[in-house]
Amino acid sequence: MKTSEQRYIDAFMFNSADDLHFLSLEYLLNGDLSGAMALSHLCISLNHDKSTIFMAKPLILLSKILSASQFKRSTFVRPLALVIWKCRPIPWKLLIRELSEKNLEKRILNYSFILIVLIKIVLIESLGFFPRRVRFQSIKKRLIGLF
Amino acid sequence: MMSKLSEKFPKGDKMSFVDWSMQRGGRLFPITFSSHLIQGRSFMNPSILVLSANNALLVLRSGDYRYLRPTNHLKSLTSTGAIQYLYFDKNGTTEPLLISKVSLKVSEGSRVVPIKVTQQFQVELQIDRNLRASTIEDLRISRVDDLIVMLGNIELSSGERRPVLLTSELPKQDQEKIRLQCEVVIDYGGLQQVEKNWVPIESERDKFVRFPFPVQLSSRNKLLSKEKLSFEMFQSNCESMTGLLGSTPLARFREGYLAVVHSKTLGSRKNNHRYWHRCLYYDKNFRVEKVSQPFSFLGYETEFCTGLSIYKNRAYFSFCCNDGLNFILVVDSLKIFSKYLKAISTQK
Repeated sequence: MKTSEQRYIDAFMFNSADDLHFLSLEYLLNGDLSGAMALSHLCISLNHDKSTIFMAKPLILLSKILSASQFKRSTFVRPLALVIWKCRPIPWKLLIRELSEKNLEKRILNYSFILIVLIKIVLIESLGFFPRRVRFQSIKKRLIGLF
Repeated sequence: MMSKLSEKFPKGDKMSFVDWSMQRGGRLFPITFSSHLIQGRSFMNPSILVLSANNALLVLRSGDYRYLRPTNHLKSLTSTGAIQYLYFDKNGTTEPLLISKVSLKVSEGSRVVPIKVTQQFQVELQIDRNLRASTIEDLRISRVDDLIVMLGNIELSSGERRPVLLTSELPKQDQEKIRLQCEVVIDYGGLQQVEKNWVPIESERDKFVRFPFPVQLSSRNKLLSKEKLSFEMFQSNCESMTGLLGSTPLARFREGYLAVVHSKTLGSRKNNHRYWHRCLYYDKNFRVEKVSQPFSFLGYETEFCTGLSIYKNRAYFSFCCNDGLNFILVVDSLKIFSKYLKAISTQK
């Protein structure tokens, strides 16, 4: 178990993505969404050129931070979708597995935020851009394919 | 990355200033906040005033919004590459600042010591009705004798931003409230719509720096007046330094003053930039005598150093990274530090 001091050193001096992620989670639990967002964003950014296998947890964390921030939907979905888009290819299986581990699988249809984000990602992945208006039926078909 | 001890001042990307300082006995204090203080707020741009060996005052900008900035590989985060300003759906608090006392006491050998801000002063602020109190931004804290002075900027009802000087007595032990007097709003002809880069000078009441030029107010007016304030500019050689955008307060150091200034290199898209810092040494006549190489505190693209306080041969820097992570850096080795400040005349 790392000490808090070592955690900070590894995060800020050695750019350790794991430690940035851990600290981001700590900031989130403490209610400091601004700090959590800066850390998770940095974590995603650092992971970006490595492997997408590391992306699931920080992506989900960022989505939770944005969700917890209670921003207007249009304000947070678009930046998040674009962050995720920048991190393509999306680690779909890991994302879903992570959601399952958090016991969200059964609640997924009621978990509107995640659902909206997924819809947006699917749109971006399939259409290559972020449309302002969408047909829900076509999204539903793609989502069903995912699950 | 931690590298072997270097005798050179950290330059550019090679080594961060924090890394360099910690190799010389410096300490880093990441600042966190109790959840009851946060309450939907975000804190940034800390400015520090050290009161004693282990105690300091911190003033931070508080907002009901958060930034999401382009960073590293995520440069084109938005269609324009600009900052996202994320506002709350619900009405957040309108308190524009947080003032708190923090302890910087550490055990021997510790290099990184997270400090948690658990309390804040209740701020009593009385200002003219032509000023929008909720818009106070980026106060830089300093000291003139037994007075705390804070210089930041405020929005007028007309929409212009003007420098505002707030003062208060030094808080006593166990004091819970702090009363801020709005001493002056600097306004005279020829100011830009947004005037932000004014900083206080330690131990000087009517002298400021409108970055990079030192100015002296030659008359005072309480609150806002249509009467123009006359001012005079010191003889200064700052004209030779271009691209400098803002600064910490000027802290007394030896016979003159020390400040950290920043500049930024622009990216290909709006706000896709990188901040660089330099230490400046002003002589007692406010002429820039020495300057350091550009450096970065932690290697982040967006860093803003808004506080500098010097106490018993230690320099306390307070800075914010990515508009959400706040730190204090204490550098013990001022002698080494000053060694690498080079005479400005040698800078090409």
